[in-house]
Amino acid sequence: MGLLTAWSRYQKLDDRQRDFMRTKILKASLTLDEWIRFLHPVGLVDRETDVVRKFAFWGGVSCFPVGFFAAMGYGSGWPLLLWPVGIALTVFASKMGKIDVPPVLEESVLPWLALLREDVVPGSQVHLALDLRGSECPPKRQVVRSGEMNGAGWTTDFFLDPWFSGEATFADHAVVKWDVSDLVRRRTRRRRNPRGKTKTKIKHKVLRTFDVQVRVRGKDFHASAAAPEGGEAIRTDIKAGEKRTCVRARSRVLLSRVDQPPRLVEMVDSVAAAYRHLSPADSRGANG
Amino acid sequence: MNVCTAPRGIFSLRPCGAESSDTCTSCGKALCQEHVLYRSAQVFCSKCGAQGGTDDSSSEGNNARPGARTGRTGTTGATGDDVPEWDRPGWSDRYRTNYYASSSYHPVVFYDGYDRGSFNERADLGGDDGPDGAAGFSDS
Repeated sequence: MGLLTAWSRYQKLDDRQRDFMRTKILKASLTLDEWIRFLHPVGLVDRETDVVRKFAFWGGVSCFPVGFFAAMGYGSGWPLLLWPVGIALTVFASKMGKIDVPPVLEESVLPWLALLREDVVPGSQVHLALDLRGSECPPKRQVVRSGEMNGAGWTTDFFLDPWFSGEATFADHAVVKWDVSDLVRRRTRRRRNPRGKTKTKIKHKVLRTFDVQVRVRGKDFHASAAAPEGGEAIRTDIKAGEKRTCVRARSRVLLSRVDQPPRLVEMVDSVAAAYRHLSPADSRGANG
Repeated sequence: MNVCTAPRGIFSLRPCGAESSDTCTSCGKALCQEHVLYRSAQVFCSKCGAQGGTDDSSSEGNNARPGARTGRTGTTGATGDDVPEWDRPGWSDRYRTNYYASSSYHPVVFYDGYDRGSFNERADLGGDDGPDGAAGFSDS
């Protein structure tokens, strides 16, 4: 029953949501509430299909030996009917696998959007670009190096994955742009032992960059170049113009796993690092 | 019309400004539906509410008005166990409080031109330059 429920929930999504689950790419401008109403059901359906997919896969795979041994044990061909069931379940699991959305949607993207509701002008358009195809999909491959060392072949692939970016206008008239990208190094080593067996080791290193730009009006904020307390760990650049001031903050995190979702606080820290340089232009009306 | 004076924002704070529906029992601050916190059948703002007691709705994960129907309902309309942490009423207030406490971040307090108008000296700019003494006020 769970299979049918999950499938029917997927079918209840609208065309754009189903399309996003298939392609995992999205680029549009909507209000924050519209974004959350769009992405939240996708996350819920994905969570449900994750459970069902695992059940269908392992259920389907186990149908083959169970059917075979039951047919042998009972001396009858009827248990072999489990085989078509197994085929149907594995095909279903494979179809569900194609609409699998990474957990980063529920663990990072949606909480970030929910938090932005505090600062973004209500009803204003927020531009988002999401690419959740994964860091190691072929179009994201940048450089490939290969060679041989001590009888072992090695390959190093670099992938650049700018998977989450956006732009929003805050209630304080600041225009905030963010860009989260992963630079992935995948190192593969192959070694052949004396018996002719090949062993492969794959290691990943991920450099995740949070790049944030906060553009404010000169009449609203002053920017100070002095390193503020608590924000030293994040590199910031300030470009002060006559009308607009732009503060850019870049932070980097080194990870050893590819599919590790960013913590919400890392994204908040990056924007906060830019805001730490700003103070209200009109000191009469502000005390912060 | 009374407006909610609860702070809003993470990076820069400003007054909420939405129409208020309740008043904090402790400090008397006007609060909109989004910023009320119910404890022991009383209404508190997030600051006073955080100072003690247990949230009526902590077991439910929902900031439901006392006597209202039980069951989780998020701001996106999700119900039951489908309501994630970030969708529960008051989550952003709690996040802000924890973030400020843990990160030494001091938010910019932002007032727009309308808010600052009261401090302007010229009445045609929305300022109040009339005599203060009659109302019991004096210029500082």
